[in-house]
Amino acid sequence: MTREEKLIQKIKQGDLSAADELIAMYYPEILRYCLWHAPDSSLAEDAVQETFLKALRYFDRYTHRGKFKSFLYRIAANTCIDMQRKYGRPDISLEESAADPYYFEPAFEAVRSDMVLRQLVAGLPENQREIVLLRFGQDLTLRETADVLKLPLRTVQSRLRSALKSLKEELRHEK
Amino acid sequence: MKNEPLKNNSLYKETDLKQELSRTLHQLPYEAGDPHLQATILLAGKEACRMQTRERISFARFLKKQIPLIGWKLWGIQGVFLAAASRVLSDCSGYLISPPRLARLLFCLSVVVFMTALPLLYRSIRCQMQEIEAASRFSSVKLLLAKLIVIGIGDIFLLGGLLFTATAKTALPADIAVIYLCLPFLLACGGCLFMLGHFPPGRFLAGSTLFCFALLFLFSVPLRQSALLFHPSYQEGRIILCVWLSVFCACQLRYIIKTSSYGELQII
Repeated sequence: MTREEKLIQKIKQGDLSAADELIAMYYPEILRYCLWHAPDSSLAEDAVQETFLKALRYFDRYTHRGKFKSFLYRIAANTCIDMQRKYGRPDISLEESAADPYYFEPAFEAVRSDMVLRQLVAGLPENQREIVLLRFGQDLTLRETADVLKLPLRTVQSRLRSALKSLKEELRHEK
Repeated sequence: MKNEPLKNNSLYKETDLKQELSRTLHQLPYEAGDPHLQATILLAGKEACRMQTRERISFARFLKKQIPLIGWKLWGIQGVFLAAASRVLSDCSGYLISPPRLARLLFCLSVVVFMTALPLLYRSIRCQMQEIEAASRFSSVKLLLAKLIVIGIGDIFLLGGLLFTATAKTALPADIAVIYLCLPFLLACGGCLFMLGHFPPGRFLAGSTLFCFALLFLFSVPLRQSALLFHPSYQEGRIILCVWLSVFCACQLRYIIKTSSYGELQII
């Protein structure tokens, strides 16, 4: 039994103090996910907080079948959608992060390479971009990505293939 | 994972592109702050305390709690109606010896059976409780489902009582009497469920009452067009109609629960 499973079992048994460790475990990656989707960093922090509170609130509806990560990402995705509805969706995270001075420090070529790739990802159609972000930005498996997006596995696979193909095409043009 | 960013010309290989995407997208434009994590844990602790003080009940228990609140009132009304309808059937058994007349009476009684539930379905609007119900732990849809189950239980007993009286006091065969009672009931039920899912609540009572009265008119006035509906030799047609209406009712119920904006419509 993994640490995550033990913590989930504890929470199910009524020991809600185990939630602290579970939150600390997932906080950085959920924050990274929300940063891609929230209009700014403070709203991303709010979205992470809301995600964990909702997860706790609806925990009794969750049946553990090894898909806690998908459950959490699904809540995070919905929270970010609500936030975008409320505050608009400039979707600046991907593009602005590339222009952040912090990234100009190591070497211009490296930063340029990162910037190009981020801009190309940002320019992908929304249904492909989300899959690329979940798969490569959040290290979710294809099955987990399919669960989060409520899509068939084959659809996720084909959209990911199309996204990678168009990224390669774009990079060829960039060159 | 590679630490060095790839040059653009090496990005054509798919594996390299995947590694590069992973490396680039893992870079956060923002440092995760520990104070915010601590604040989240603190808030989660408070939420957990709130949750522990809140009593959680299953839908079955919720339904059981609804019976003393709404069930007995409805079942009381339906009991009185059953007694009155049984008396009518007993007293008029001689006059109703003609099958078409008996069929018309059973059709009308069956529609009235459904109409006994209409005030209960309109109760939330009448008492202006929609906003409280919408904000409660159990959604408006689950509350509606509980009401429909209570109504359904009452209606089954009521139709069963009418069937028993009709077969005991008249010469009508049981299989024909069942269809005579089910067909108009399902017709009224289908129409009203459709209105429940599609109409704003303010218009539901007026719409469904009008629909039921239209059915009563159709069944009670001896029109040439409706004569086929009551003719004993068209039993197969009535059975097919009953099956179709049952499917229609199930679809409407599914629509209300899964798709319709019933919950939102309640607070318009």
